[in-house]
Amino acid sequence: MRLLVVEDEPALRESVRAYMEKEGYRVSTAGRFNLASQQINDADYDCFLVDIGLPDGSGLDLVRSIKESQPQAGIIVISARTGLDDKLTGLDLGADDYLTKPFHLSELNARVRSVLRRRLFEGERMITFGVISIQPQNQSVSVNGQPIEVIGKAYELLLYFIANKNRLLSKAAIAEHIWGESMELAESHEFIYQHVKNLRKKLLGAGCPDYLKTRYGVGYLFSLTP
Amino acid sequence: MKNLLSLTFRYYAALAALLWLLSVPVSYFIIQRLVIQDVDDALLARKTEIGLLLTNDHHQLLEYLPRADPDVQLKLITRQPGFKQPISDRLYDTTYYLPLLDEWEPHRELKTGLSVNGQLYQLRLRQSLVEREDFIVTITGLQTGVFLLLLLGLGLINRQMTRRLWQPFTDVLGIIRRFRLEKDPLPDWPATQVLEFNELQGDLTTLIRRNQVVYASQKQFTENASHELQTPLAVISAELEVLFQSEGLPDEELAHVQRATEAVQRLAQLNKALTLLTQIENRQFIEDKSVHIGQLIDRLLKTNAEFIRHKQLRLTYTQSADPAVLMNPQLAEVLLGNLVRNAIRHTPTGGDITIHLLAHQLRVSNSGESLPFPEEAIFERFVKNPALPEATGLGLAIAHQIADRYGLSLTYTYESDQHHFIVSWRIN
Repeated sequence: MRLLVVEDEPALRESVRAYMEKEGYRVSTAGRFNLASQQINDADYDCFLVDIGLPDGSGLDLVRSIKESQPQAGIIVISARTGLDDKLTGLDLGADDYLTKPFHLSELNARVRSVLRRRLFEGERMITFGVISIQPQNQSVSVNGQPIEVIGKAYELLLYFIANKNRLLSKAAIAEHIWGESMELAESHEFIYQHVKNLRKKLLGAGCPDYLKTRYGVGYLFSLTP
Repeated sequence: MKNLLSLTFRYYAALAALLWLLSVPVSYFIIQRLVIQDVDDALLARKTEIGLLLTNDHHQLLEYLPRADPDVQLKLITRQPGFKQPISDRLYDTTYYLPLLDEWEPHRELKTGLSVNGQLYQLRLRQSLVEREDFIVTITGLQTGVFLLLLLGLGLINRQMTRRLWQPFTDVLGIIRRFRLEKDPLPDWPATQVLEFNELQGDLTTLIRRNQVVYASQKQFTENASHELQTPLAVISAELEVLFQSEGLPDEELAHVQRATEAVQRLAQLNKALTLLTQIENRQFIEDKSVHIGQLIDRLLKTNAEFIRHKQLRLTYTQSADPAVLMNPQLAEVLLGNLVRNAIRHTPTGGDITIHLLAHQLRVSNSGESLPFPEEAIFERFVKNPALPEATGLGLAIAHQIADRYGLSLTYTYESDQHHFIVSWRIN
């Protein structure tokens, strides 16, 4: 999977590159509009991460040219602006998703995965993690081939854990992913604990090994290794 | 409020009325003087005439004249010894009964003496002043008529002036009223020959151009400030996350990183909220649509259902109308979302939330203790419950700002252990 990260802030660009490379992507970066346009012309990518506010041009123009030259690729727009209209313009132009700064790298990772799944496999590909398998097109989850009922927020939580496997996830990052704008209401840690507990109970009940490690007071880690 | 022309017309009318009031008695007085002078002249002329006639034939005249003319009395007076001076003319007003009209009528009378051929006569001549009264009434009537015609004329000219002369001014007013600084180009003013209106248009153009520059730079500043702050925040947040996920960090260190992350997130939220406030103030959200409040509430309750369930809140939602309000849909969602989330957050576990949607207002009520700060401060920025330090204290300020922006009223009351937030709008 090839990613192009267009971001003018070097520190952020490098953090994203390091994080996504660790996830197994081949990552190219561009810090300027001109360089990015050139790279869009020169090579094919599976997904683009585009910052709207570039010093020498608007990321929205890049979105336009990507839609023309590489319509099959996924696009995630990143903006430092809070302007709701930016978000609309980005999505109107055909971007798949929109993130405002600051964002969690784990969130970005989950979004990239979801966009790629929708774009490249049209939701057909099965996600497997150990004994867990997920059919994204009908949101069904099974353990050792036996379907179990994991729906709604629990399903989203499971996908998020799998997307960010082997990574320590803070409760704040989980809350933001699952509840978005209402996350402040979810910040009571007990609330997230409740959801995680329910998910774990379902998985264990179906005979799944305990993939979920709790670091008390800190967060959760989803991993195959005990 | 009166318009300028009806005010000027009032002054015209007042002046005309004053002149009319003054001119009626003055002209009455002058005409009366003229008439009396005229009558007096006529009476004196008659006296001379009678004097001449007496010189020729006094006996016959003495008999005949008073009988022929009731207005003449002629008497022969025997000269009394010692009477030397001729009797002087006396002219005065008096009244007589006229049997023909069956009325007492004003008269002018001349009482005088005539000395003819050594004989002394007493002569009384009178003339009715009935015609004078008629004359004055006619003149006054005429004046009133002229006055009324003058007023009518002024009124008509005024109305024509409003329509024609002031038309460019009315056009300019209409253009300014519709003008939106955030999206309209400089207006095209209607052509006018009037110097003052031309100056007004020129000055308005300068004013608008200056405001456009200020608006653009302010907008630019807001965006830049937001961008400049969000980017370092994003760097901090990403670096902290990398640190957080690095292997082998003891729990104690992780807790430090986590606290720093949470602080950065709060800072980012604060920055977003402040930027949003500025953007609303600058009226940067211009695309208005008809927003169905009922649908919006349904959606908000659905997304927040979990939290309501988790806190075991009793939610009562009654919708007795399906109103639509013309506003920016994103801002409508922020406004109502903030009210709903505010209610969920501040209701104690097991409490009540009541939402009532009417044709002209939305009422969001929740149970809970009274405010720990003065009621009137509730919509102020950074006013928050000290028990919830992680709140930005901006949610309700933003809601109020949005309501203000669209001319809606957002009010708060605390009644019977319930907080009530009421958004009202005008029904079209």
